[in-house]
Amino acid sequence: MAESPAAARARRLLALLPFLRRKGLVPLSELAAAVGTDEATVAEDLTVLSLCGGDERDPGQLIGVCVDGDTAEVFADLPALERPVRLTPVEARAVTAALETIGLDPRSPLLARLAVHAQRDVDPESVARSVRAAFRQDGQAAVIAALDVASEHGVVAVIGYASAHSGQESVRRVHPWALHRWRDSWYLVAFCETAQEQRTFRVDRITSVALTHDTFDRPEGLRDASPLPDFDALPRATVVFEEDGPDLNDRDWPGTTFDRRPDGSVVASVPYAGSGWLAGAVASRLGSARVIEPAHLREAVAGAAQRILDETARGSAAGSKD
Amino acid sequence: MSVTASERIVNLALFLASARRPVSAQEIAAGVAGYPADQNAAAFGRMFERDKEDLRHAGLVIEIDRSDTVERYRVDVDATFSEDLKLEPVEAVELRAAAAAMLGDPSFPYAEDLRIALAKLTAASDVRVRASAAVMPALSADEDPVAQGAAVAELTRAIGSRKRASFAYTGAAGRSSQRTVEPWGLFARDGRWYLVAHDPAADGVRVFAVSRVGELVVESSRPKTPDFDTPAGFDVRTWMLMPFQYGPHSREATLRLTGPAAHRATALVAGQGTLAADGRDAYLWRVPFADETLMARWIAASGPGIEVVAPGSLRDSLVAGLRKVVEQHG
Repeated sequence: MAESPAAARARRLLALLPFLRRKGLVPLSELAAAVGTDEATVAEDLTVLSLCGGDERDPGQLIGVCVDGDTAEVFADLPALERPVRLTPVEARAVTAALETIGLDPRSPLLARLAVHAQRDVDPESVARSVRAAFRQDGQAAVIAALDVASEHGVVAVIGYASAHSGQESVRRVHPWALHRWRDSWYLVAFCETAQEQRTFRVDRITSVALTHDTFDRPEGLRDASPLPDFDALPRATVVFEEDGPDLNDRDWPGTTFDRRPDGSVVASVPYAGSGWLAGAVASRLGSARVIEPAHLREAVAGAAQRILDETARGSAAGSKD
Repeated sequence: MSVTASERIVNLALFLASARRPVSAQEIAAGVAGYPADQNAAAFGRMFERDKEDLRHAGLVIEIDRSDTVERYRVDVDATFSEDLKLEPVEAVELRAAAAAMLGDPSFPYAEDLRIALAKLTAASDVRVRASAAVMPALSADEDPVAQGAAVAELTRAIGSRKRASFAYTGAAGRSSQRTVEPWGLFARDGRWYLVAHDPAADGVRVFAVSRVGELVVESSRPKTPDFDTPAGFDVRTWMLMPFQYGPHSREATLRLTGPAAHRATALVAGQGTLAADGRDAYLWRVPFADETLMARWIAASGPGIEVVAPGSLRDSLVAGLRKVVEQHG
């Protein structure tokens, strides 16, 4: 059963207590960040806490805290519970699931330390056997952390990026603006100095991050930045699919309109930002889809297929020498 | 002034934690603000039981001392409180990035637990875990994210307490049927949550897309008595199959991953098959597959840097398909 609202609030109030263990002034913003809520909620919670105490018969046992503007003042020692409490099994599972989504290596010492910090009956291995919030993506957490730091300090980063289409690795100077997780993947939205425009990079294709001594200013309004482009502003290609299928939908082909024909084929109008993604998507249908127009995209599809063919030929040639 | 339920729970926690010796229910009723004075013993007992359960949920381990004629209660200090936590700076950044993404994700099922966990870790560590400037709220499951998150939270509790779950399931053909299953595990893949459960009516283990689950009800009678046993060796990771692995007959493919595919090998193989180093910058991946066409398509879509070592028929379908693409677009 889900916990009641009163129990949920009590749990949050108890989690706040160790932050009140030292007498003095604490900014509400700091407390709000620590317990993951906003300042108004923290102010309300502190007011409730100021009415709580250990023993009804002893007014000296009340929690000595009051809120003044955007600051909390702690004016008495806590009657108890000033030490942080261990993670319960469900809390340990929540942290593990969240860290899985940034691709933290399962052998990371952080996970081992979190296990020590949890109650004794928490077994990380049994948690992993029942719930998986994401696949393992070793090394990705370090890339995300480096980009987060670069973004926070407005420091230009040099990234190695393996293109999905050519397989070529390029080195780019970027201004890391925002990191997004969408479905299973992380994306970096950045200004690319090399291309002189805003670009979106898949984090699992970033092979290295190095911070420079140069700085940049982050633009405002990034909270709304989406890894999905504005489809109305994009050019469109006409693609014919030999037959309909469950994967011909707006989720797998974002922004696409499908025209289902009596002969069973499907004519699609597909928006595309760069030719690489669409060329790869059509080529990987292995003949059951073809681009009608534009011509440059037809060439890109043929090129994408030819590159994989060349790679396959090289692979077999190398294999036959063994 | 009346005392709210959450105040009473906090009062009880403070009373138990500040007591110098185990305390009886009678002392609690007298000393903790919030238990009505005119309450009879049975009503007090029920309220006290619920409050203790809420304190356990918050992490307080309450010991019962039965050495006397009346039960007495105390907080088990060692089991309840943690030592200080040492976080490396990079680990603090990893935690805040994970938190920034998942706390704002409407489809993340454990946001409230994560919030409390981070508060506890922050309180115990010397590093200040600040809000991340760059990381935006994630959208892990994009179809009806709030409903998927809520259903996964409910199913996670059912898995933990091993209680049966009933729901209306809309199959791929659009038809809806009523199921009652024994939930074993949950996983997320490509923007969808999936439930792995034993379906006694179908006499087998089935994988259900949570976005197609409606009217979910978890068995609520006797919440502390499990309805079934999850098999001892069950591991949800073995059910996280790739699209080309669904089908009755399975064969093994061997693929060589080089260059960019080698760099992101663990992400590409997604926990399936076996991955072994092949020289310094390459891997050999042995993986079962059931659908050759889908496997060839996956290779074409996931490269560059993926070569088919075996079987020959898989390489032939890949090559034939790609030649057709070149012809069609020449």
